Amino acid sequence: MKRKGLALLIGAAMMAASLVGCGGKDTGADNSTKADNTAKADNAENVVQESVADSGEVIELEFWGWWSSEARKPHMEEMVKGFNESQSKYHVTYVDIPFGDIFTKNIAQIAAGKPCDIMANNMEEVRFRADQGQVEPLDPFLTDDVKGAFYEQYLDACTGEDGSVYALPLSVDTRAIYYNKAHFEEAGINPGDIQTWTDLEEAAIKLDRKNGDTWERIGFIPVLGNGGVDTWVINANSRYGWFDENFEPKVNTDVNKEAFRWIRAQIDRYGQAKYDELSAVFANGMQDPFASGVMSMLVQTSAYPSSLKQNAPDLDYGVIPLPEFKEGTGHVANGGGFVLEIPKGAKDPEGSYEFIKYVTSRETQDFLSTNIGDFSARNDFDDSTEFMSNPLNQDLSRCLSETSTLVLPNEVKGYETVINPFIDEGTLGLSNTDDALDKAQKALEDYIKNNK
Amino acid sequence: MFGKLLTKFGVKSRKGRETAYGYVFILPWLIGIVCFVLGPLVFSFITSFADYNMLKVNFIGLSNYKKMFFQDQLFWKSLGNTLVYSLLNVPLVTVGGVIVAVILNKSIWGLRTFRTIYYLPSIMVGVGTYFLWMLLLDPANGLVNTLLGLIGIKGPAWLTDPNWTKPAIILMHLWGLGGQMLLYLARLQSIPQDYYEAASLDGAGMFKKFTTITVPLLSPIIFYNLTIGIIGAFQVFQEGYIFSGDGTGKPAGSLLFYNLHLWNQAFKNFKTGYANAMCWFLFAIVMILTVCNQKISKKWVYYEEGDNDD
Repeated sequence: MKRKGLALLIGAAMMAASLVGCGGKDTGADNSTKADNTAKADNAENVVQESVADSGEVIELEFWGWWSSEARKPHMEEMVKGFNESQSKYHVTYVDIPFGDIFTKNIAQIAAGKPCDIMANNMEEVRFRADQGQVEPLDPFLTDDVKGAFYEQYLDACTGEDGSVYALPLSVDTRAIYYNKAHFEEAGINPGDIQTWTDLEEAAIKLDRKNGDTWERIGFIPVLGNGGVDTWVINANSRYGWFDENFEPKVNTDVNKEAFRWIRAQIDRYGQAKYDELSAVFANGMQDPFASGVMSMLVQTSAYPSSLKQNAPDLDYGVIPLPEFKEGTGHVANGGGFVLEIPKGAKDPEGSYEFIKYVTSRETQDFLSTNIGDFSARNDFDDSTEFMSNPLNQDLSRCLSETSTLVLPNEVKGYETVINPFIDEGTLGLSNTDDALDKAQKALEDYIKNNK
Repeated sequence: MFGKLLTKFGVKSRKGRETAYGYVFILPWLIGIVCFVLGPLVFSFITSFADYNMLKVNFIGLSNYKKMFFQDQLFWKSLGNTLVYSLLNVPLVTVGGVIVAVILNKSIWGLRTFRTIYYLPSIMVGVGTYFLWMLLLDPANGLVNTLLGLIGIKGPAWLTDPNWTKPAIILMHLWGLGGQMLLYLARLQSIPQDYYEAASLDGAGMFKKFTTITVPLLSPIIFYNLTIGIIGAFQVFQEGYIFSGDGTGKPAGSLLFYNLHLWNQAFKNFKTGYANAMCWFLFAIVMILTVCNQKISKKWVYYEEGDNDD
C-alpha cells in the first residue's frame, strides 16, 4: 500500500517536472541560442501571445526590443505607458528579449505566422527584410507630415526597393572623433584647426609621448575604437566606400589605396605590436584607453558619452567631426540606426502603426533622447530642447547631417565576410595595403558574380 | 485492461506482450525523437534542395550543392579552417588526456585535490569562460604572455594574429581536458598491477610499460574519445563566433569555421536552404571519418574480451 502511494507520488512529480520542462523553450541543436554573446541568456523570456480581442475591446499589442538594462528599460516602459494612456483602443506590452536571440526569434515567429506586433530592428537591413517579405508596408497609414519629419537619408534607408516605406527610424548614430581636452591644451592644439586628414596626423604627432621604447601616450590610431578601414574609406569617397553609385565594386581605386596607405602609416608610427596590444584591449572591453588617458583621440559612435559617463565621469572631453580627406570632400561619417517595423502577418498593422507614429513623434523622441541619450532621425530639433542644450550633443547632431547611411542592394549582402579578411591582412601588416585591396577587389567581384 | 486491448489487436503470446509493453515504455522518447529530431532532419534535407528563406520554399534541385563546391570562396576557406583546427585539436587533446590521467593515477600526496583541479574546468561551460580567456590571452597584460615572459618567451598576439588564433582556441580546450581524463582514470584504476610487475620483472622501462600495457588497455576509451572528438571538432562554432565579435571570423577570416559560415548563411543572409546543404555535407564528412575510424580501429584497439573481429 505504502509502495503504491510512493509510486504514485514519484509518478506525479515526474509528470510535473516534464511539463515544466516542456514549457515553451527552444528545442533542437539551435546554434544561435548556444552562441549568446550577451551572457544574459537566462533572461530569455517566454513570449505570451495574446489573442486579438473583439472590436470594441482593447486590442493587445506586443512590442519586442532588447533593452533590458537599468539605464534603458524603465524609460522604454514609461514610453509604452505613455502610449497606452494617450488612447484607449490599443494596449501595448513591452517584451525584452536578449540581443543575441531576438532576431532569430522574430524570424521564427514570422515563419510560424504568429509574429509580434511591433519589432525594433536595425536600419541597414530594412530593404533586405522587405525584399525577403518579412515586414508589412507602412504606406496605407503613412501621412506626408510624418514622412517629412525625418532626415532624407534615414527615410530612404527605410524604403524598400519597390518604393514603399517599411519602417520608421527609432534612433540613429554617427561617428566623431572624441578628444581629451587636457591633452589638447597641453600640446597647444585648437580642435577647430583639425579640418583635414593631414591636420589630424600633425595633431596626433604633437600629442604623442614616448619614453624610451615605450609609448606613454598615443595621439591617434584611425582604426581603433569604433572606426574601421571602411569608416575612413567612406569619408575619403564622400559617401560610398567599397562601391560606386551603381554599386559596382570599387575596392582598389586610387583614392582607397591612398586612404589605406595613410591608415597604415599611422599604425606604423606606433608599431604593429602596439596596435595589436591596443586592439586586444578594445576587443575584451575591460579597459578603455581613451577613458584612462592613454589615448588622446579616438573614433567612437554618438553613443559613447553614456559609456564615458559611467567609466570616466571626470574626463574632460569634446568631439570634432571626422576630418576631410582633402579639402572639400566633406566631414562624412558612416552611421546606422534602429527602426520600428511591423513584422509580416501582424494581426493589426494599423494599431502597430499608431504605436510607431507615437514613438517617432517629436515629444517621445525628445523624451528618449533626454533619458537614454540616443539621437533621433527627426529633422526638427533645435537647441531649445534639454538634450540639445548640451554642447556635446549639438556637436554630435551636426555630424548627423553629413552621416552616410549606405544601404546596399540585396545582391551584395554578406560582402563583408568576403573582403574583411583581406582588409585585415593590410591592418595586421601581413600584406602590403595595395595588394590587400587588389585581392579584396577580385574576391568581391567573384562574390557578386556568383550571387547573381 | 491493457491486456484486453492487446488481445484485441491479436497480440496473445507472452513475448508479444512484453515487446508491446517495451514500446509503450519508450514511447515518450520515440515521440520526442520523431517530432524534434527526425522531423527537422528530414525537413532540412528536403529544403537543402530548395531556395528557402524561412518564409517560402522554391525547389531548385542541386543548385545549392553546386554553389557550395564551385561558387562560394568562403566555403573552402571555412572548411580549410575547420580541418586545420581539427587536425591540431584532436591529437593534442587525446594525447594530453591520456598523459594527465596516467600522471594522476600515481598515489601522490594531494591526489584528490589535483584531480578536482584538473576536472573543474571541464564543467565550467558557457560564454563567461570565453571572456575569461580573452583576458588571459591579452598580448600585453594577459596571464599567458606574462608567464611566457617569465621563461623568456615573447608571447604572440593570441587573438589578433591570424596564425595564432586557432592555437589560442586549442589552448583553451587543453585547459578543459579533465572530462576525458576522468574516463581514462576510471579504466586505469581497473588495470591489475600484476601486468606492470610482470613487465618490470622482464626488464621493461617506464616508456615500454606505458606503450605496451597502458595504451592498449586504454585503447577502447581512446577510440571512443577520438570519435567523439572528431565529431565535436568539426562542429566548432562558439569560439569562432565570440572571439571574432561580429561573426565574420576575424582576424583575417582565421576563425571562420564551417559552422560559423553556415550560421551566417542561415541567420544573417537568410539563405537557409543553402545552409542546410552545408549541414548535410558536414554530416557526410563526419560520417565518412567515423566509418574510417571504425575500420582502422580494428588494427589498434584491443578489447580484453577478445571480440575485436566484428
